[in-house]
Amino acid sequence: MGFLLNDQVRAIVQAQFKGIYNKTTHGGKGSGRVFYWISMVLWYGGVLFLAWLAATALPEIRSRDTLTKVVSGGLLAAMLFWQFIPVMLATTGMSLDLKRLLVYPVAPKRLFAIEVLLRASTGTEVLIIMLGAAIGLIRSPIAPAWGPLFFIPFTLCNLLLSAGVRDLLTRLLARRGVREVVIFGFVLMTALPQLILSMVPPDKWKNYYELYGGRIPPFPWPWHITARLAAGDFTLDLLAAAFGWLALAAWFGYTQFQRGLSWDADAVKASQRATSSKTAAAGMESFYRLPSRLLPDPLGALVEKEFRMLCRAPRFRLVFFMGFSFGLVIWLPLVLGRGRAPGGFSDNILVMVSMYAVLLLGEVLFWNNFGFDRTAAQAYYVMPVKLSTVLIAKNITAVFFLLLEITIVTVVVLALRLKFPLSKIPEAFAVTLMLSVFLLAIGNLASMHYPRPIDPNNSWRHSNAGKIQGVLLLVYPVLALPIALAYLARYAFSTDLAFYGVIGAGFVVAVLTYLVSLESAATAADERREAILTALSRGEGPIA
Amino acid sequence: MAIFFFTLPPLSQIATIEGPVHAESSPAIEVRELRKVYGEKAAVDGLTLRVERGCFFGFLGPNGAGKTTTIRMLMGLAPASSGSIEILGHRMPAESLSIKSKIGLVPDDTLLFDHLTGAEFVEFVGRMYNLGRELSRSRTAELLELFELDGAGRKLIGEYSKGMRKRVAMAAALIHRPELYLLDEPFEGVDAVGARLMKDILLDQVRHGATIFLTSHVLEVVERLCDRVAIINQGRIIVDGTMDELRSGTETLEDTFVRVVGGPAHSSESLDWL
Repeated sequence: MGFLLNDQVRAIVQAQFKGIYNKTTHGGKGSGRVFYWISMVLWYGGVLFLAWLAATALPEIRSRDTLTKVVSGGLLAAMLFWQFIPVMLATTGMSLDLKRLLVYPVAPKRLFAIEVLLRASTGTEVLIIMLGAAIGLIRSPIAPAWGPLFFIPFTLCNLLLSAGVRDLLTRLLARRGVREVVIFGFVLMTALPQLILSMVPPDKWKNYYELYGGRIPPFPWPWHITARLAAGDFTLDLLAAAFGWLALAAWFGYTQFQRGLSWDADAVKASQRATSSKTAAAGMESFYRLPSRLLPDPLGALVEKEFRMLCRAPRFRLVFFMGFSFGLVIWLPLVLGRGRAPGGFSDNILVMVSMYAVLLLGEVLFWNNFGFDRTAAQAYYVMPVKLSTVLIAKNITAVFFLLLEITIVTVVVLALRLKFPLSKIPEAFAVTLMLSVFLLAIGNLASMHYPRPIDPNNSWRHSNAGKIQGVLLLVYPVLALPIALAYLARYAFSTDLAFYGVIGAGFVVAVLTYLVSLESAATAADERREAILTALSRGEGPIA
Repeated sequence: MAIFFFTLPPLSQIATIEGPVHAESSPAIEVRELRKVYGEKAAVDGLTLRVERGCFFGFLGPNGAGKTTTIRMLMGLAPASSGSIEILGHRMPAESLSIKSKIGLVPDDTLLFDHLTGAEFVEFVGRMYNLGRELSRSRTAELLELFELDGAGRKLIGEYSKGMRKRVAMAAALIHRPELYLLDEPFEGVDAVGARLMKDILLDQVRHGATIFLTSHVLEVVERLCDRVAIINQGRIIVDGTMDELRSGTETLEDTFVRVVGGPAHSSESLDWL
């Protein structure tokens, strides 16, 4: 208790909560604060409901085996939540970086205890639900009253593990290349349940379980042994396993935390620079120089700058990679499920994945033209270059990377040997190209009216403002119209000529829209220069 | 000009964890054969340095010379590859806790908490130095007023300009009245009025017995404030002396700096087009 009463400890925990509150409410101002409190009430209302559900439902279970299974499932979910939340907070910048406290007189051993305490404070939801479950177990006629005591080592195990996982991931995410792979893995995990559901329908699960489940050797996972102990299945070997997990988590958490404290990010960067291949660097240099060979200056120089900036931005690299991987995983269930028969979804997989990739890339390529590389925004206003030229350069770069993305999507789809007519390849290019021109036209305007700062080095931080989300909701259905018309024309006239005719007409309209919007966007960029630069100065540090 | 803020007694009367200030005759900073290697490159290469107590010490060098790396090692943020660091009679890292309680820092940007307001951050730092909530809060209010940051209200540090960030860092450095200040480019981006205020406070602190270790690229500022200067280049100290020694004859500090560091091989005259 003395540790908790220490003013340093209280100050650190308070700073953690203030940081989260300030970040969520944008400094605790106006509508942000109202939104924060509404979402808090809804979120914790849901958490309290789950706790109440656990407290009332568990006593109704009359079989110890069922009770063990239910509690085990709940504890597994709690464990996943506890490991995921600190990582999410760290990547959003809301989590307090204890490494920054190294300059203050805080004892290193106390720092680890503080880290564990912070992990508890960022998982209060789990604690509330577990409290509900504990009440439910106490009220249960088949479980002993002392059962919930085993939640304590489980909770400690989670907190210690969570401290270690967070530190390990922080170090991994700082490494170029590894960062993208780790985040991609996390994002992919969210799509896997859908894929599994489509490949293995629920009615076949029982067959698969009977076929393979028996072959999986039983393993004393912490959630399972805690559930067994809590349900009254007390044996010494289970108790030993529970405390074995606790010891393992303590060792892992402490060693990872200590490594994190002495870890030197500059040394890692220096070693990465030393090991980077000179041949690869020369290859990339030729790639960067390509626009300057084809386009006159200043357009060539501007496009070259965009190439360099985007290729070096972790956020762009991740989104580009996700376009042809995550996008495919999202749409694959439709092909593997209902579209196995000729026609239907499977025929159009390439078009759908390509369009999805275009929408995904929008955030980094055209919805926020000045915000993604905001340090350069000021320069555009002081350099003797037309703002329309800057926008054209950004749009040329966007089209190049969009076409590259669709090419890669095509290659991946072909490599996966998904069956679809080859005529769908030009169709995918035509549809996405027309869509892209429309999106660029609206993106240029949106960029000037809703600019917002984005950190291109942060791979996973949410960035879209509420207003732009509203614009997107209106824009996407409208943009879907010419595409729908093209497919309708082909259906009505039973010829590809009708399809390409409508797409061609749509393309002409798109180009005209683009030209008009370009002028408007350039005018807006000029007239709103102060508002744009002020908006881009907010959030994550001033404009350089 | 003496600047008085807080109602604290002079530094000489303040007792610290380790006993009264100046009880020890050890130098404020003593560094021997310090090395920091990144990959194959030594950012700091056998640096030996001694800064006496009560000294306003300027630590100069061209970009990439190893100044920030040195100061990060002194702060305990980066472990040294080899060599020894002794600060206020305590060895780093063995006695780092005693050292940290006696030093005030104006670090580079990265140590500020962007999601806190200026007031929240300065109060937080005060509590890290065990001043307690009430004292931290009252000193924070005084310091923010002094640095004209009290009007920033609910503005987060992440939204501050560079000058404001330096001012808030300076306010945080002063809150526990340290014996030694480690200042990394403290005047960078600060306006003339703010810079003047900071300089006056620092000089006042030196008069009261504090030691200041300052890195800056503005040689005029160093020339006016510091009584001793060391110049580091490629990780090694190449000049270490009093300001008078460095400005011998008609040479200014800038002349000396350019001479010892080695000016550019070509002047602008070699560029015909310029």
